[in-house]
Order: sequence, then C-alpha cells, then structure tokens
Amino acid sequence: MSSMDLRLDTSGDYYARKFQPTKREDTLILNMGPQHPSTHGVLRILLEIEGEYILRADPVLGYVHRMHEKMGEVMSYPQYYPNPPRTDYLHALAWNWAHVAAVERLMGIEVPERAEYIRVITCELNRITSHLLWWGAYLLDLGAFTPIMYSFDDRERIQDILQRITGSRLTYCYYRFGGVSDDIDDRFVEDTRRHCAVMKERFKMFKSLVTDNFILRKRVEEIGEIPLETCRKYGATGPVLRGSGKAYDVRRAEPYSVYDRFDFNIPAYDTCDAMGRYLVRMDEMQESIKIIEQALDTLPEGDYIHPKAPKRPKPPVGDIYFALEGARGKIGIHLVSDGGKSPYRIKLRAPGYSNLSLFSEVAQGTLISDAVSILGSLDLVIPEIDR
Amino acid sequence: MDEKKAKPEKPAGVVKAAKQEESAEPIYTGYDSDCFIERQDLLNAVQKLDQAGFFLEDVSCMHITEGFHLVYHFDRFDQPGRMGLRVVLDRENPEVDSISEIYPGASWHERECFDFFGVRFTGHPNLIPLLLDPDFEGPPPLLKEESALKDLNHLYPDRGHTGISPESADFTREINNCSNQKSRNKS
Repeated sequence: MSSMDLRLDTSGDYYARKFQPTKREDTLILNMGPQHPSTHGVLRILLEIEGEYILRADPVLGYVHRMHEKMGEVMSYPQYYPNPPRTDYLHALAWNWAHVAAVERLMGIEVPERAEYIRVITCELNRITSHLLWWGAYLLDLGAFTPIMYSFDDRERIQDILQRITGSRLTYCYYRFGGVSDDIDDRFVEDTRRHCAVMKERFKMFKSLVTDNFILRKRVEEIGEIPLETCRKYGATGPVLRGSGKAYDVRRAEPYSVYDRFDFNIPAYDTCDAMGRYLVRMDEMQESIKIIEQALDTLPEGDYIHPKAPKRPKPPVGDIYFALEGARGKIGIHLVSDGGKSPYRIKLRAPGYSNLSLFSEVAQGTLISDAVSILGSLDLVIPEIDR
Repeated sequence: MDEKKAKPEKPAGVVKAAKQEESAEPIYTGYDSDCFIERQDLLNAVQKLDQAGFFLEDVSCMHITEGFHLVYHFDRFDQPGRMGLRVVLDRENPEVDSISEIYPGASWHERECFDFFGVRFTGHPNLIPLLLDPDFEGPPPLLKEESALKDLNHLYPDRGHTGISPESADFTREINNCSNQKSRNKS
C-alpha cells in the first residue's frame, strides 16, 4: 500500500498541456467550464490565476461543433433551411434570413414587399426574445434571481405569437427563398401590437428594478473595458462594438430588406464597459419595438411568397457575401456556387466567434468574478461559436 | 426615404433567370471591391487595409483544383464597404503568412482553416486544433474528392486570377473607393 502513488496527474489534457508552460511556480491553472453555468453551454476557458486574479485566459472551443458548413455542401439548398437557425438558437430567424437572402441575391429571386415586412417584424420580435433571455441569464450570473422570471414571462408571450405563424418556439425556420412559409393574420397583428404596448411599460419596470440598481452597477460599471481599437482588431460587432462607442449596425451601414424605410436609432455608449453593452441591449429592445410598430402601421397587402419562387434553386456560378445584423452582431454568409444544386462552399460568419476571441486580452488582470461578468456581457451562444 | 419606395427594388423578371440555369450574371455580390493578390504580398496588403481602418470579418477557405482559395473579408465602420482579398495557394505547399500579428482576431479564423482544410499559417503563435478534436484522425473534413473539385476558371469566369501588387496605384484606388454607396441600392 505504501508504494501506491497518490499524486494527482496534473498534466491535464491536450489543451491544458499546450497552455501550461509558464515560468512562475506560484500560479494555478484552472479550468472554467465546460460545465460552468456562467459559460451558458459548453465553453471551456483555461485560466492561469494568481489568487483571484487572472493572468492568462484561453478559451477552448468545439464542444458542440456540428460541422454545419460541411452539411451545407452535401445538402441541396432547401434541405439546408433548418441548419443555420440551429447555430444561434436565440436569434434563429436572423440566421434563417441570412441563408435565404444570400441565395436570393445570388439568383436574383424577387421578394414581395409584404414578405419583407413580415420578415422585419418577426426578426425584430425574435431579437427582443434573444435580448430578454440574455438579460435574465446575465443577471442570474450576477446573482439576481428575480429578473429572469420577468424576462421569461415576456419572452414566452412573444414565442406564443411567433409559434402561431411559424410553427416553432425556438429554432424557427420560417423564411423561404422568395418569401415566408405562411402569411400573418389579423390576430398576429393584434397580438403583436398589444404585446408591444405591454413591453413598453415593462421596460420602465426593468429600469427601476434592475438598471438603476446599485448592486448591479457595482458589478458592471468599469468592468471589462474594451477599447474601440480592440474591437476593430478582433472584428467585434453588435452590442459589444456599440458598447464601445461606435454606432455601427448592419441595418444602417449596409441596409438590406426594407430597413431603410423605418425610423430607429442605433444606441451606442462610449463607456466601453459591461454597463455600456448592457445599456445598448436594453435600448435596442425599445428600438426593435419602434420598428415593429412602424412596420405594422405600413404593412402592405400582397403575396407572402413570390408565386414563381423556385422550389429547387440552382444558382448561377459565382460567390456572394451577405451580412445582416443579428442580436449578437454581424452575421455573414459567404456562399460559393458552382452552378449545382448544392453550394460549392458555404461559410458562416458567427458574430460571437469574433466577440469571444477578444476575451483573452480583456480578461488579463481581472478578478475571476469579473470574468463571469465580462463573459455574460458578451452574450455568448456557444452553438453559434462552434457551428 | 420616400423616393426609394417608388422605384422598384429589384430588376423585373429576375425569377426567369433562375429557370435558365447559370446563365444570368449575379446581381448582387456583397463585394464592393475584391482582388486577387499574390501569396507573398498578403502581409503588405493587410497592413495597408489596417492603416485604412478596416476590420477583419472572417477568413473563408475553399478547396479548388489549383489548391486552396482563401478569401479575407474586410469591412469598415466609418465608410462601410466590403473588401475581399483573394489568395490562391498551390496544393503541394498550402502555406501562407499569418496575419494575426496585424489582426489578432485572425488567429481563430486561421486555426479554423487549419482545422478544416489543413492550410498552414507561418508565424501563427498557436496553430493547434480549435473546433475539431485534437485526436481527430483522417483528412481535414472540408477537403473535396478529386472528382468534385472545380477550378478558378469555372468558379470565377470572366475575370483575371493573377494578383495585383499592393504597392500599385490600382490597389490604393480599390481601398479608397471601397464603399457600399453604390451597391446598397441594389440590395
């Protein structure tokens, strides 16, 4: 018995060994995740810590990698409909839209005006559900339990509205080449209007309950400061970029669909901290409601899908890059067609991928508890990052 | 904004184009400027884009008959417009300089290309698997079978595939004129 070696194997796995070499002997290598609740899924971060302070951080990805890009190459265009929405399950319609719009533009498929309006309305509703879930989950990370109950209440109501017309609650697959799969009805319009009015009141309550809360502010203000130049170097977009003071939004910078007809602001805060990113998302929900209300007011009559939209598209040879604004930033699809019935190459640009890549730099020198706050403020959806 | 409503957003009769199959020109490409450059000029070209205030969107790789075709997508915050830098690597030696010194965000995009295609990036600080399992055996998953490969002339007909020099006046003009003012009306 005395000869038994009781020392732990501390060499770790492949990534831990790659991460390990360090000259200091008083530091500790710690695995945060892949089961850590604050990583919202299966993100693993290797940390070298000295006491409570992070000296180095290195995210390890790939735990939910499903190779959507390869699936795109072996499936025909319509078969691939359900895949992009399953990468980012929180803002599924934006990915659905990116895929559909890339093919439409490559082929020159016309989309009826009514369909474009329906897309704007549903996509913005979905953006609100995404931000609401982020809001509840982020506060849960920071130790506040109540807000997620309110956010899920509102989120479920929006999901009920979307479920009636899209048939699903989370991984929507509603847009089709040339339009949407089904028309909206009066009840949808009525429900959406009513809920928009309710939400406006709720935002006031959210502000006084949470945003103005002293404890929250202590956890987010001046935490995780990301200078604008860092955002540019890492290609960060969406609320992360706007929280660093640059009002860059694809809906305005590279207008697609009918967004140029609506009056809305691009909220931006130049505090560069987690609070900036928090406030951007809170404001964005209100801007989305503004867009939805305007779109409902001016909703044109007509087809919801182009009557001659191709069922089995075969785009011409060429490549296309289509980008749009998702809840986490710029979603891009690079589609290369060789004239066949499935893409030669489809590359998905996930905004969270670029946003997370700056974490190593930002986390240096912060407390572990602040790292949780920073991670939450980036609004990560791991399946989107791993694709 | 009201004038925009009046004019038709897309050319009429475009659905027909789909039926004729690969005959019509793509209407919208999403690129406001794109050019082929030689492999050894990459760092120089990216440096120029960095000075011009571009950010890196992604690095997209594809397997072609000649070897590999890398497309670096850049965009700008203040003067939006997409710039595509295209580099062709031969299949015997799929290696190119890493741009992660200039754009640290490129590091993950390059690791992804290494994972999926086996393209190597010289000077990359940490070229290890990112999305794939480090124990994964077999050829990189996005390599195509020989019979499925297409060449540049098939994928990009009607254009030259030789690289332009980043020092040339053409390249400077491409950077300066890169703006989506023209193409945004088409989308």
